[in-house]
Amino acid sequence: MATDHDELDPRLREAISGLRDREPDSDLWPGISRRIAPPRPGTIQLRWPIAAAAAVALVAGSAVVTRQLVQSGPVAARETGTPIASHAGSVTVLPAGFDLATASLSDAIAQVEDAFAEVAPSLDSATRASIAGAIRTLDAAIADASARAGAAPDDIDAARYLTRTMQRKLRVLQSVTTLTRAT
Amino acid sequence: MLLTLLALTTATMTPSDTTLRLPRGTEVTIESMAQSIHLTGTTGDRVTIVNGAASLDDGHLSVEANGSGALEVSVPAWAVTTIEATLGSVEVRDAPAELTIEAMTGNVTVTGGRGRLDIFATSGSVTITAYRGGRIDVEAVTGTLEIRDAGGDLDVETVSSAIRLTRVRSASVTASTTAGAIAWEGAIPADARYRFESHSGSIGLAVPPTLDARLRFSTVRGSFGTTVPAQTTGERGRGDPDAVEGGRELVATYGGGSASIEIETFDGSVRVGPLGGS
Repeated sequence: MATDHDELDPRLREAISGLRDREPDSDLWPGISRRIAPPRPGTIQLRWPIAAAAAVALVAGSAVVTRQLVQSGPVAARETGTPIASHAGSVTVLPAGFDLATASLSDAIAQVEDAFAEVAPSLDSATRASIAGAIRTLDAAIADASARAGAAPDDIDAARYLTRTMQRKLRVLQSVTTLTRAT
Repeated sequence: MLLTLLALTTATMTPSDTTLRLPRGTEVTIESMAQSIHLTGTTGDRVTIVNGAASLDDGHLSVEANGSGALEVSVPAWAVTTIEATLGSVEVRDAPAELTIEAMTGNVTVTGGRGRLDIFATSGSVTITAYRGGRIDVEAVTGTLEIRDAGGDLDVETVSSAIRLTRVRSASVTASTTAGAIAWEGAIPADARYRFESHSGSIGLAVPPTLDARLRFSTVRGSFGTTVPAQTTGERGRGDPDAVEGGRELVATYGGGSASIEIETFDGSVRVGPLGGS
């Protein structure tokens, strides 16, 4: 066990002896202060941030990959003699990952929609109408994706497509709201 | 020390028609509520401003429109620059090396320049011409997006408007839209990795007959057609092949299949045809 009285490793002693205090080449504080400054007033602060929703979607995607592997289990199970029933629990639990992702995304979208509703009156009517049209387009796409995912609950691509489409709406809403607040 | 002195002496607002030497490393922000913004990237370290006021502090130059005409600004090509435009349009010539544009209602036009370009436009159109970028990112919500004679990695997106990419030279392209159409016109290099996505809009690729690519198309209710010779395989149902919602996937191999093109639609159709063809 090493103690304070132990001899230093010669290589470490040599490295320490080479250390010198040195002033920075230039004043670093302006750059640092800008980086730690609070976000612009227009930036949306979400209780359920987009990153969290995206993370849930990512976890859900991973879960489905796991599920695919689990579902391929019966073939291996037959070859190794492992009881197929031992995988049943995992198979029934994992689809909930996407439900959680869509629920999180729905929450996040609802929050940003509320935030946008607050700032939208500051926009001119043509811009508001244009954005409303885009949101309707995104809602229609989400409805298509949701119907597809509902009709094929085991279709991984359908589930991924739904979360991706919802993420797109969330991203657009957040960008528009942030920009509107900043103006 | 020199930088600090310069910052102190110019920290107050300066009048219109301003010229100043920008300390290296200074970032530039240009804002306008109603006026159009004209930006030009130049050589050297000089900034000129017409119809605007500037403040320089802590390595950051802020320019705000204050006249009645368009805000005209020229900045050194090395300056990291951000433009925030509310109602007016944005026109950029010889874009500086790192440029971000946020436009609420006006159109955005960028002609020339190189480096990194990042644009968000809510209802205006975006047109980029002759830009030699390392990277171009554009999100246009409802305005059309057109990129011509440009280069660099591309990541572009719209919600309901068309994306038109003409003579773009890039190894990496991602273009996605919810309801708009996507049109690609030009060659696709052998090392390319392209991805096109549309929920309900159609996608058209006009390519040389010598295209060397493997195109993988997946769709729920869309269709695929090509008049450029290809070996097409694998149109198949996933799950129930008779179900409308079953999803389909096919692979079309052009030439040796070197480049990779991934296309995904929900019910948008895809057509591949020869450049200059009808």
